Amino acid sequence: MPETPSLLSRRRLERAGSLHWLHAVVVGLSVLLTLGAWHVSREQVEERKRRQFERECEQVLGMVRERMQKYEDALWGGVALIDTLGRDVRHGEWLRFTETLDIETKYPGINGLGVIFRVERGELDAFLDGQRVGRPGFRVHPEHGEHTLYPITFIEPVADNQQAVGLDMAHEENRHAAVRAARDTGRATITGPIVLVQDEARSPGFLFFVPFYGDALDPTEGGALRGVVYAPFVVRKLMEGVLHKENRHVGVRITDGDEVLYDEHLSEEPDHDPEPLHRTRQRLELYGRSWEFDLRSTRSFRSAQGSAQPLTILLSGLTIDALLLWIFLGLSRANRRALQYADDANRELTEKAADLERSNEDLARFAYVASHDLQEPLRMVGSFAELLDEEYRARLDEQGRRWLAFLVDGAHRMQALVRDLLTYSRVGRHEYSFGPVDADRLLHGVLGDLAGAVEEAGAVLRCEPLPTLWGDEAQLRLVLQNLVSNALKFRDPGRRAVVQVRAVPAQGEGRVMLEVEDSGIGIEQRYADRVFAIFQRLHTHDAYRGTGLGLAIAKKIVEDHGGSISFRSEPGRGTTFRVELRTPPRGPSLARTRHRRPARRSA
Amino acid sequence: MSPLLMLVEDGPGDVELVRVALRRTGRGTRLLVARDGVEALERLRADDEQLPDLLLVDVNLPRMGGHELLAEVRRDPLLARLPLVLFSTSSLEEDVLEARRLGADDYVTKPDGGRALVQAVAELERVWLGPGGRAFSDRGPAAAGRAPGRP
Repeated sequence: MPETPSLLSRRRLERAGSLHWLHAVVVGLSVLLTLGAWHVSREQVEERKRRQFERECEQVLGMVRERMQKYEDALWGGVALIDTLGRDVRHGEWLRFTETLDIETKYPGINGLGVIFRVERGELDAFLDGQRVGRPGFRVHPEHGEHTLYPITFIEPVADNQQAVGLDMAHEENRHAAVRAARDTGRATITGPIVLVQDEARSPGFLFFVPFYGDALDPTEGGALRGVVYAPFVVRKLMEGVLHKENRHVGVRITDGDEVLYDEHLSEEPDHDPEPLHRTRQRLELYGRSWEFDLRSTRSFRSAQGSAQPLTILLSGLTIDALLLWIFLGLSRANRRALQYADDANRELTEKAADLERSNEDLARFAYVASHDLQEPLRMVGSFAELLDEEYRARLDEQGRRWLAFLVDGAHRMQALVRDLLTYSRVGRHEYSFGPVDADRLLHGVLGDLAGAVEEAGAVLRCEPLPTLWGDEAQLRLVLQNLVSNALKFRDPGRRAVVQVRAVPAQGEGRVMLEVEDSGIGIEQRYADRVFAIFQRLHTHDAYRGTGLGLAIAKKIVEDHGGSISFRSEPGRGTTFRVELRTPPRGPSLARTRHRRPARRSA
Repeated sequence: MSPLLMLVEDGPGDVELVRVALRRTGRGTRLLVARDGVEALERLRADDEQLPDLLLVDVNLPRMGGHELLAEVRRDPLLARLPLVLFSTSSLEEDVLEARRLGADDYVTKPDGGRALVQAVAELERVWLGPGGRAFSDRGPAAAGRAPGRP
């Protein structure tokens, strides 16, 4: 199939409407962007979670340190009391002191607050005597071989700590070492993990010691240790007080060396996360011990810190991508449908055009055959009517001669009609041979043919120089002939006939307008649409002879040449017919058909 | 001897018209009529018949048309130099050109009126048969190279 412009533009449409790599790139990039945004957002959320976890870990450690300081302060309060007294504190005084402190409400997690005196073995009896004044059952236990004894002398509230009363710190190295450390440094110390004698749950705990001295405030000034103020802790209780579970999303395990002090990483813990998102280990140096904190995020951390943002971004993005794809597919489908529609419409039109062409051709053929075959018998009628008129005229009466005249006239008119009809039907069937046509020469030929008519009309001809036209010479000659003979025919009997032929510039490249102007009777505007119609006559035969085909033939030829014909008229003044035609194309076609090209002379 | 015209024509009307035209011109030209090309050839080739001075041949004929007859005549060495004028209703330029291309000596359009036909026949007689015309009697080598058309 040849590449016609419509086929090319159709191809372009097909290409534009089909899905190709650009669409794939757009969708692909969009998906990549979505995934990128999702990734970045997820990273940010992860980062935020990590920071949140770190912050919570800091909080836990900070609270433990703070709470331990608070307990230490309470213990130092006890030391201050003893130092203020300037003598050994008595049980009643200690009781009042602890009641004032209001341990249970102000120091949650602390088991009690007690005093341990340093007792040399040699002073033990005197010490026991002194203590048994108000507490006859007081005894120091258990037995051991050390020279210096550190019995728990008072512990308040005593109710929960009954077993601890009289317990000697020196009986066991863990407690003893912490006491000695307090004694030697003058600072608060804690023991390693122990099981408190008063804790029935036997969970890990430790003791907190703060030393006091007899005559000086600390050992650097040479003071001898008088005893320690002490507090026992069960770590579990301590932590329950310290770390409120609400709003905490980290679990804690505290170990001191190999021993576990406190552990929330147990499956029975409700918020335990077997696979924590974050975990960290941190060491806290506390009063001579080193506690290791194993911190892990809990299950509630997941939900509290979970963010819907990345998922929202991902889902929104993918939805938009899907819509984009849907739009592309829709556009493509719409385009295919449009093309399909155009094809269908085109096919229908082509079929209709073919039908029309066929029926047109049938009609033209019919007109041709009819007019051609009509000629022969008509010629017989005309010829013999004429012969009859010539040879038998004398033998006819007046009526016979009149009738014969009608017969001859009718035959002649019909012959003219059939001849013109044949010409008209041949116009469409004629194979045009296009070439340059010298309109000047054409006009002079026409005027030569019409010389008789010109003379009969007594017409004045004014012809201006005409350009070279592009068309079929014989056909264009027919146009000029019809127009000029028309101009001569419809003359006004009241004035001299003047026929002017000239060329005027036309709009558009390569076009020219020929004008044939007469001074005839003119055409009323209401007949405008009938002037060029086939067999249309505006006058009776008696007034103007003619078949009514001349202008129809001219119009058909002009239109076959891609031109147009029109007229302008003023009834009683004259008519101007205007024919727009082409001039020869520039370029090679001119070189091929050599012809004389008259210079355009201005009119 | 008066000249002889052979009319090859199937229409009785046209035959009658030509007969009237010849009568009117009054040159005494005799008329020989054949109904078609086949009959014309038979009569041209018959030994006992006199050859006509001019063949006036209708283009549209049954059995053998004017163009075919023209070709046969031109092919026949005995007939080749007979003046042959084609005679038809059509006035189209292409038909005229075709006739000349095929070797007709002239082409005459059948006129519309009886009066016009008489004029046409008179012209034919003047050109081809009359004194000073290119009569058959003096047709010689000139006939072959004769330019078509009226002199």
